[in-house]
Amino acid sequence: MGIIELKEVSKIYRTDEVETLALENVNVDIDKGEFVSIMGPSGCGKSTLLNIVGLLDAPTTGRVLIDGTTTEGMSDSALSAFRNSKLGFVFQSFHLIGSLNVLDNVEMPLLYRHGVKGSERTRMAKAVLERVGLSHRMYHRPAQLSGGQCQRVAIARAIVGNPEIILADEPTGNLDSRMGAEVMQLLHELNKEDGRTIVMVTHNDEQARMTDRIVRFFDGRQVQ
Amino acid sequence: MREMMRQAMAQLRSQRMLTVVGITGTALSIFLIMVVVMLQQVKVAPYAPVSNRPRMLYAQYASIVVENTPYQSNGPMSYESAKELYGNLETAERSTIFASYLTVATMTVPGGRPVSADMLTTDGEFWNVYDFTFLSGKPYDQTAVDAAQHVAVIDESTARRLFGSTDAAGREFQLNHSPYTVAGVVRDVSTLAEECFAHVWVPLTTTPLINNTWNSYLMGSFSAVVLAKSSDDFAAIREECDRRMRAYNKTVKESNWQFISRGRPYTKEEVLVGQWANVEPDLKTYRRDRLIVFLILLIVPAINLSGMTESRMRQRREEIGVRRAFGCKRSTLLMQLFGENLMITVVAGLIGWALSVGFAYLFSTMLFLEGYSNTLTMPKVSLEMLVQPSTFAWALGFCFVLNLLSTGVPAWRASRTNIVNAINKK
Ligand SMILES: Nc1ncnc2c1ncn2[C@@H]1O[C@H](COP(=O)(O)OP(=O)(O)OP(=O)(O)O)[C@@H](O)[C@H]1O
Ligand SMILES: [Mg+2]
Repeated sequence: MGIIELKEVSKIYRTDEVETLALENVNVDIDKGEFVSIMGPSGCGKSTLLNIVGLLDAPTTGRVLIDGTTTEGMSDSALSAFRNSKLGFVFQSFHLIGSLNVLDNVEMPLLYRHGVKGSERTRMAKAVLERVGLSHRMYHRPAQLSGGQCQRVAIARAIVGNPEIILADEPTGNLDSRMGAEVMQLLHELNKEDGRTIVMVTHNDEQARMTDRIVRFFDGRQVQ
Repeated sequence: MREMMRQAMAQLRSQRMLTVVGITGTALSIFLIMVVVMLQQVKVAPYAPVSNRPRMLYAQYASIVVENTPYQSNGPMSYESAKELYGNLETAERSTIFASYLTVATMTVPGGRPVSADMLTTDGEFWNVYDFTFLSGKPYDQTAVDAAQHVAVIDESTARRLFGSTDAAGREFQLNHSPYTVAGVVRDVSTLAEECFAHVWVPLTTTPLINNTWNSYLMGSFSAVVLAKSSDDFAAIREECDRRMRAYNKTVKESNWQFISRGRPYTKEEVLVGQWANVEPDLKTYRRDRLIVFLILLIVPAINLSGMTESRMRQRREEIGVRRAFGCKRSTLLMQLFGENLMITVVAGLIGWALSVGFAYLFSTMLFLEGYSNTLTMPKVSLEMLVQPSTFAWALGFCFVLNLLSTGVPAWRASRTNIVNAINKK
């Protein structure tokens, strides 16, 4: 039994004019501790898949099991708590909160976790910032950082709550190759050293080859 | 909680323009509505010399009827009736009887120019029920009233006009061509303390007003005010007044007239609501109507502010989506958004409230001038009258309502948006 299981998942986007079949009958099984790349041409449904795995969006049909738990029909409050404890997100364009400094950005997920005191939050956030090598930028605003630094802050935010699964949608898409390599190295560390499960969408073959497994999509269908 | 406050502050700072506009808009609407509230509150608020207003019950008028006929009479009572109905109540601390309306008196000192002033005739208890500030001398007591002594209390301005000084106790003057002695001088009273306002007060036994009676000596020119030990005693006092009325009705049987209470004595608010002496004031309807007016006054700015909150939310869609992705519950998000907006409304409310006090103070004459008034003296207000806990409570209440109205829809929508769309600002 994998930590992530998608069973016959389909996703249809309906707008007034068109219906888009973004995912069609997808079955994916990812084991605990695996580092999986998802590849495929633009518009083939990679982000859609990741959002469904991340419980940010619900499939039109099919089931999603995370860590053996069926997520279908969960209340918003239960889903939120589940995301908070099990999942960490890294986005292509970072999505840091501009009005908060680096430390506050990293502490944010802990705000929504019951029973974590302020001092404890700060301690945990400082520890992960240390890990991504940004202790010296704690009181900077996101706008004062380089793209690579922003993505490292985002990774710190994703792991501060110690989730088992990290979902990264083109984490190096907005970075030059040197900064991209730094970010990739960090992800590999998190996978190897902490045993975190990582699902990453990428367009970069070289990056994908370094991961445990590649899942390819074409037009909403899994091709390999 | 503290963390959320801190983050909210950071948020408000980062949307400085919207925050400033939001605060200004809210402050202005709170300001407007507070001026309306103050216009009403000042008439019931406690301040010297009406500090005891919350404990006072008013029998400004009385009503008499001939049973089983349409004949009725409503208006001020004779001194005799007022004493019988409201004097020396067991359940109350004390009560006072004084003229229902002001009369104009001409005052002169030898060699001086005549001064015309508003005069109120009162009993001795008047000075124990109302807390006038004496600058010199002291009030006249009931003994002086019973003996019809020609003594008077005058206000500061009148003392200056007559004697050129406020230290006028013991000085003599002519009042409507009768000699009077100044017993004491009090600080000027605002016309808004309408029931006890005057320039000169004299024992009610010393002017012809006491003989002004009709309906078999039952009705006349006087009102009564009952001072309760506490407002909790109001019901008991009304009961005793009813008993008194039944007893008095027996003694006046041969006149054919019978007193009916119409729920008197009234609270100050009921007095204000009651336009007519022959209809019992309907406090419920009045309060409901007033709430409707306030709601309308709030809804209009709330709709505008709601638009502002909406654009604030639009700018923050990405942030809201990210917070949701990392485990912020819908309910937590709603709380956070309401909390943030409440900070704006409370700050704005304080500003608006301060503005309204300042405005009312500076433009009191224009604001508080009554269409109908007993006197030609212009209304004056003091800060003591305006800065009332009750008006402040109103202002805070309005802030909460405004916050709910202006944040409700945008915040609810923000909490419902699809997380993926929010993150990608779609
Ligand atoms: N919110 C939406 N409403 C309607 N259609 C959508 C929506 N999101 C995605 N789609 C459509 O679903 C399909 C899959 O989109 P998705 O974003 O998953 O692709 P992707 O593989 O991540 O592409 P890219 O590599 O460009 O990021 C596309 O055809 C897209 O137009
Ligand atoms: Mg994508």
